[in-house]
Amino acid sequence: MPNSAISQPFGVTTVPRQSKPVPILVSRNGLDANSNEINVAFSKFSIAKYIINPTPKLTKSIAIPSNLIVTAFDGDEVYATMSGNGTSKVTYTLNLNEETKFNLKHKIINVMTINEITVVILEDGTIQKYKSNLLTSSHSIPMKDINQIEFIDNKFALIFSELSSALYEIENWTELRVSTNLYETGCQIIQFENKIYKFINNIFHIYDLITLNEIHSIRIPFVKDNSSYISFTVVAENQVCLAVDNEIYYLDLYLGSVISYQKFKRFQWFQILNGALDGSFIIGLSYNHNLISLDIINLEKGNGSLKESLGRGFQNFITNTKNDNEPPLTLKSLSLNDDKTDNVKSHEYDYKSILISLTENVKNTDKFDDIFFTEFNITQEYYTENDRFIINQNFLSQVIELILNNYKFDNDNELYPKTLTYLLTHPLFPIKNTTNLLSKFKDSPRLYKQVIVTCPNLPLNELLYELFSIKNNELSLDISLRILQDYTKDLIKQELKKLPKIDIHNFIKFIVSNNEYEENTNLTPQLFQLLSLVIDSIGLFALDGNLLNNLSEYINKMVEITEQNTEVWHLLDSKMELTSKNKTSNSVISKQKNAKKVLPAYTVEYLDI
Amino acid sequence: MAEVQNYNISVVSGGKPVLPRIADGITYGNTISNNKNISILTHDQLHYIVPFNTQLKVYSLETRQCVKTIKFANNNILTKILLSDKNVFIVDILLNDITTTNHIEEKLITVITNNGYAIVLKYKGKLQETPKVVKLTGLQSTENVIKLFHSIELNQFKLLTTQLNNKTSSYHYKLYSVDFNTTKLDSCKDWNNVMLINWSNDNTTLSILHNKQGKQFTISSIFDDQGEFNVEIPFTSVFNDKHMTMSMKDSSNTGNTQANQQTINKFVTSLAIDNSRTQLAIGFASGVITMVSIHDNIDLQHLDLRYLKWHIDSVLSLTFNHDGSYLISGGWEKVLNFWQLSTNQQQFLPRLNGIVIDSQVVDPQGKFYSITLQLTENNSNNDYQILLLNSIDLTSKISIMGPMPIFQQQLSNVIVPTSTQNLNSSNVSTIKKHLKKLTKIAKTSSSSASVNFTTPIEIHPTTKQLYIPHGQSLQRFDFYKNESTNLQFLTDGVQMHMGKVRNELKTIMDPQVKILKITSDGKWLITYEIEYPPKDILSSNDLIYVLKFWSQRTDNNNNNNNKDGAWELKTKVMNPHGNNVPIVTMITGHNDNTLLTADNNGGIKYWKFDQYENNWCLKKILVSNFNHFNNSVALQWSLDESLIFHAFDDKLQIIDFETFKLWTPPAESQITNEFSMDSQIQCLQLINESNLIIVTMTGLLVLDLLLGKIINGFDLYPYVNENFKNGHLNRLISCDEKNGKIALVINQREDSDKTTKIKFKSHVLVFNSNLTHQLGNFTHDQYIAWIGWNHDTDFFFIDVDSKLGIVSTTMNTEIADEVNKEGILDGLSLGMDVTTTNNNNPTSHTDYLDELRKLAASKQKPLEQQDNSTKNNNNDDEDDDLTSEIINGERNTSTINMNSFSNMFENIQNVSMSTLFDNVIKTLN
Repeated sequence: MPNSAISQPFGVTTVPRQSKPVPILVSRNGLDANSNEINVAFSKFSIAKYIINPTPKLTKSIAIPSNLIVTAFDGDEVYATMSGNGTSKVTYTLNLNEETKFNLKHKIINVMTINEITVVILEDGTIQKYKSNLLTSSHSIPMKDINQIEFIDNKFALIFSELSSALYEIENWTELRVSTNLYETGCQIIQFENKIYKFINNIFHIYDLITLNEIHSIRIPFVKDNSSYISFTVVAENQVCLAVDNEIYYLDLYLGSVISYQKFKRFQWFQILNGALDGSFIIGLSYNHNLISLDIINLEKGNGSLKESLGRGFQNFITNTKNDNEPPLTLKSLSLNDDKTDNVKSHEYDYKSILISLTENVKNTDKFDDIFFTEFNITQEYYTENDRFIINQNFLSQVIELILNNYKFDNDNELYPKTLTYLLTHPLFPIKNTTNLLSKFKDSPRLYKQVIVTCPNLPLNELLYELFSIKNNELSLDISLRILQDYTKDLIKQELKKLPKIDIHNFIKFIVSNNEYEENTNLTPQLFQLLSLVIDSIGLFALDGNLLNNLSEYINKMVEITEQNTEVWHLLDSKMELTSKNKTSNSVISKQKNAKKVLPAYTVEYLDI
Repeated sequence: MAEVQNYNISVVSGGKPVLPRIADGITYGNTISNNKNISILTHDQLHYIVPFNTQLKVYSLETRQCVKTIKFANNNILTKILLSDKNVFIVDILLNDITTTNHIEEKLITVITNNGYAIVLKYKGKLQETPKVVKLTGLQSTENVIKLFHSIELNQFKLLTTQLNNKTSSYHYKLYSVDFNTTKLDSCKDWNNVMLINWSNDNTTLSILHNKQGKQFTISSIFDDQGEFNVEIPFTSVFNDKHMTMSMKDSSNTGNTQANQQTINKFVTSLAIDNSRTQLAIGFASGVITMVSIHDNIDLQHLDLRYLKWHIDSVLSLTFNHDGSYLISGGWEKVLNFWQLSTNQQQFLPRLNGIVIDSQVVDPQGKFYSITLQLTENNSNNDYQILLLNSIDLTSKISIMGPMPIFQQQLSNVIVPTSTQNLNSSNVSTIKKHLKKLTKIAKTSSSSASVNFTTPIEIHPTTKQLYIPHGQSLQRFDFYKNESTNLQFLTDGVQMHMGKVRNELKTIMDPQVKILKITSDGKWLITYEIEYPPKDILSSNDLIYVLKFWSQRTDNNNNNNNKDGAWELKTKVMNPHGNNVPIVTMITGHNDNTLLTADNNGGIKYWKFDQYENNWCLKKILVSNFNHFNNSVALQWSLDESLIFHAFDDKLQIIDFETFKLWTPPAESQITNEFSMDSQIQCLQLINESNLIIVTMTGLLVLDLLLGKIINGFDLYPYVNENFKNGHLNRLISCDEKNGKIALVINQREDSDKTTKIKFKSHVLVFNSNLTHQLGNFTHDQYIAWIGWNHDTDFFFIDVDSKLGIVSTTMNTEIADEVNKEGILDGLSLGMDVTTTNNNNPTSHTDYLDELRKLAASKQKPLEQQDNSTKNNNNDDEDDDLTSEIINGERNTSTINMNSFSNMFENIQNVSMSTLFDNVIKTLN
């Protein structure tokens, strides 16, 4: 996808191969706007510091014995390890620096160094503080089997265990909040700013950090149950990146949309590592034919606006299910009375079976029309408000295709179902079916005219093409009306610019040289408007001198006519005033006005300009 | 959050003061000259009882506020008598229980209905469940009671009734004597063909203009304690020749036809007799007041006449003060006149809100005047203001107004007072005309003619006051206090300074406030108005469109002026979209002080308050882009303001706010930037961030912006059915933006029983954000003109009777009782939180850390302090809850009722403020 906000990954280093996958940790600090460094702890191998830009480069490395698994680390010196899996007696070690080591009784879940004080939290709830390589205090909080700890602002700790989750203040170890239902076995939890994001069973749960109450939850419907590698990171409030096997989704959890999507075909899977949360990049491990590499993906971070999510709802990313299963949209009746049977007619149609019977009878125009008009209870040959319940555009599109594919429109004598002419008056005529409609009906003047007059959303380029090629006054007027009605000035100008200049010259010539309009002056405003748009779009200077001369002559002539009309109008006006009490003259004029407004039922309304 | 919300509906507020004696223009025609207001002052002169259309309200003269309401709907008997039949109403209120002989008991009043019921009610303390009801027998079914006269000295009652003769369109008045023991009536006097009737302030003398072998004035005593008094003055004898010729001269100037001028000069619009039966005042449509002095040996051919000339249009109200030394008159000039009869000097009370249609001396000592004003700039409804004035310094003691919405179409019972402009040849014909009009409305209503009584109202986001545009002024109405808090002119016009008279009524059209919006922080009011040039000149069609930005006055030095929180004009933009281009719709932004305006050609402009300029500035323009004009324009702004949804005609366009152009969807996008609907779009609403509610002429549809398609829809065509002008449907649809609910009003005409009155029924439907669940379906017995979200959890609505109702949520008690209250609040404000932080608000990052620190600090205080602090916190919580519950209009906790605080107030003298406050808190806890 060209516009994806997720870039292709670039490798920082390859990860030494291990017999079993071992934890790889990324430090909380580093690689943000102020820093170009990243600290990574590879269990059984090393704790390394890399410079990322312009090319990834290892700057510092502390070797880790191959039997030690890193359980926590902070910066490039302080780290905690546990001895490898084979031996029966597991030892836990805290390394404050190269010289100072402490052996502890329990696994170290997390460690933080701030102002030369190191805070260590063990699995059994013991908290220890070290200063100047000495243990200064030890404290026990009532939590066991701690699984995960997040430090917040160096002053608070969010501690998750199987039984409960708690928010602590570090200085005095006061418990601020406890929640028993936040942590679940097998969940992934990340704290980001004022929220906690939990992912389990394809559902994201969002908790408020201050209260630990759940404020939102959303299911990710397109994650397949058999996906084996699922990992995520939070990039901004309510925005996460979710890696499922070798696919990465950039999600807005609040709106429920996929802002961006990327699939890395050359990897078997990609696993996001949590650590530095800046949001503009993702650190992860990619797996490609036994080769694990530490990669960085740049992310074009959005601002969470609705604009980014338009048309990108989760539902649109479900590829397995077919759209057919969705019930078609129906216009339901409001049930105003408690007695629901009262007066409520069902307007749900069995579109599928109707389409089947239509297809069966597609060659028999009468039968075809009969089915269509009776099934939908259509009384007129054109759309009326009574037909407002037919709003399934998919169905309409299928019927139109059915007709277009089975009938020819070479001349006006060809038979075709009346359904077609009805559908051409339907305001919800599907846009995708309007392309090439004009050229298709070119040889059938009756249909051609109707398409122009009643069919909405004809493609602008086709309309303009027809307008410039046609030499029929009436039709060109109809087309120009349709263009002006359906499209904004900007769009028309934009489209005109794409057209060859010769067409435009011809059009101007056609209007200028056409004298018939003089007699029928009330039809010209539309053409004038279009002419002004045409000239606007190509610019006066694009016209050659001859044409310009003609144009100005033509305009002068028109202005003259207008002046004459105005004078006549004034004359009439003053006369009218004199005879204002003469009611007959008044009524004649009003009759004329009324007469003008009578339009054939299928036409579009004329414009008031 | 699993939040269960139940909606319920209740009519709790609003209603308007009524003048039953001119109620529908037919029952009494306009035969009653004065004494239209039936409000009364209580025994102790400390309270004023005013009839509203649904209740009686008791106002305290001391606090100027309503202290008690007697709602008819709260009592079965009152409901049965007054609410079940719309033709029954209260026509008179008397002090005491008049149905018994020993009837001197305070707290009691007796109300009289037009069909002859006398109901005894308590106006202090709790309303009795079964008030005493006496039905007077002997009235014909078409006979309507006007007034019950009571003579305390004689202990007699007289009942004045009227009957409309449909054939001759004339009114027949009868006076009965009443015996409450037997409930029987005895006819005493009657008058045929009555054109105007009035009685003296002490209720002893009637003055009548009627036709009895030629028009004549009759002055007659009501109680014949000192022998019957009856003077008959022929109509013609109140004119002398000199007066006639003078007015003929005037007529040549005004350009009116002679005949018309004759009518105006001879058309009596008001009548008054003083208590001593010596002076009769006759007010004419021309503005002249003729005083006739009445004495024992009156010469009917050469009356002692005197002319009082000041009014320039019809004299609408006339009354004498208690001792007859002053005549009080009022009319279209919006000025109350005091004529000192001994010296011919005049005093004025100018710049009233409306034209003076009634003035009374309300107590025997003449300490108080009541005047009734009609705000005629609203011609769709009867808007009355009742003022109680201190007669010494003419300061207002009480001002009473209901909500005064302007409906799109005129209601059927609108009464326009007589003026020189609407006067026809005779009084009778106007009644005929009125009758005709009513039957016409009834007829058209049975066919499918369009009915549109909608009205635009806005709710202030913080004070929750209703902002009701009223022609050129703005009324602010407090829903919870049920009081009109302020009436402020927003435009310049004749009406602002004085009333319009004569030709001005026809030719000068005052500017009209068309759209009114309040910014999300409630600090700015933005109005859009249209100024109309005078009629019959060349530039009459050149309307001027004005956009005005108002801020609330904040200067503390000027506290007195700022008491009512009036709005102050900051910026005025003439023709904001260019000459002759109207604004069709506008919306304010969700977060900042921003505004979008849209015209009828697709143009959109973006206005923002600029801190540097300290003013509102035009920031972005989308040039009018369409090739035709349309008034079906709707705007919506996404909550994060990144997108604008612009509906024009039958098209919906998505506009990128950043570029202020049509949004270009990315190549692979499943959504287009333009949607074509099957008919013109009436209204757009955005809920739950991503659901756009589109209302077309045929349906109510939900467009899921994330999916890019319409996901649900309802058929609206049978209910909309061309009833509504473009954009008016959104007055009946409202969105709860916080909770993602939508409320929709459907008004239906009930099968009319061929009477002249049309009945309406309305439904309020509440849906969730994608219309899949109907959360509520309520019916209301009147046409609902507007519904709006109160920026909390409830919807307010107003019906054509100006009654205000609420569709409210009551949160389930389980949720309300949940321990951690902060969490709930967070959840509720989730929407806003997200948007602010999503906009990369730099403060947001540290906000939660601050909160954490606060939390830690509160936890770390020493134990006792901690106790205190948590208690305080709890108290705060309680307070918040309490206020929110009170705002929600009801209290869910059963522990607090009216008596909860009564102990506290028993010993209030010696208690310090803080102790009292603690006690209150204790009770609340």
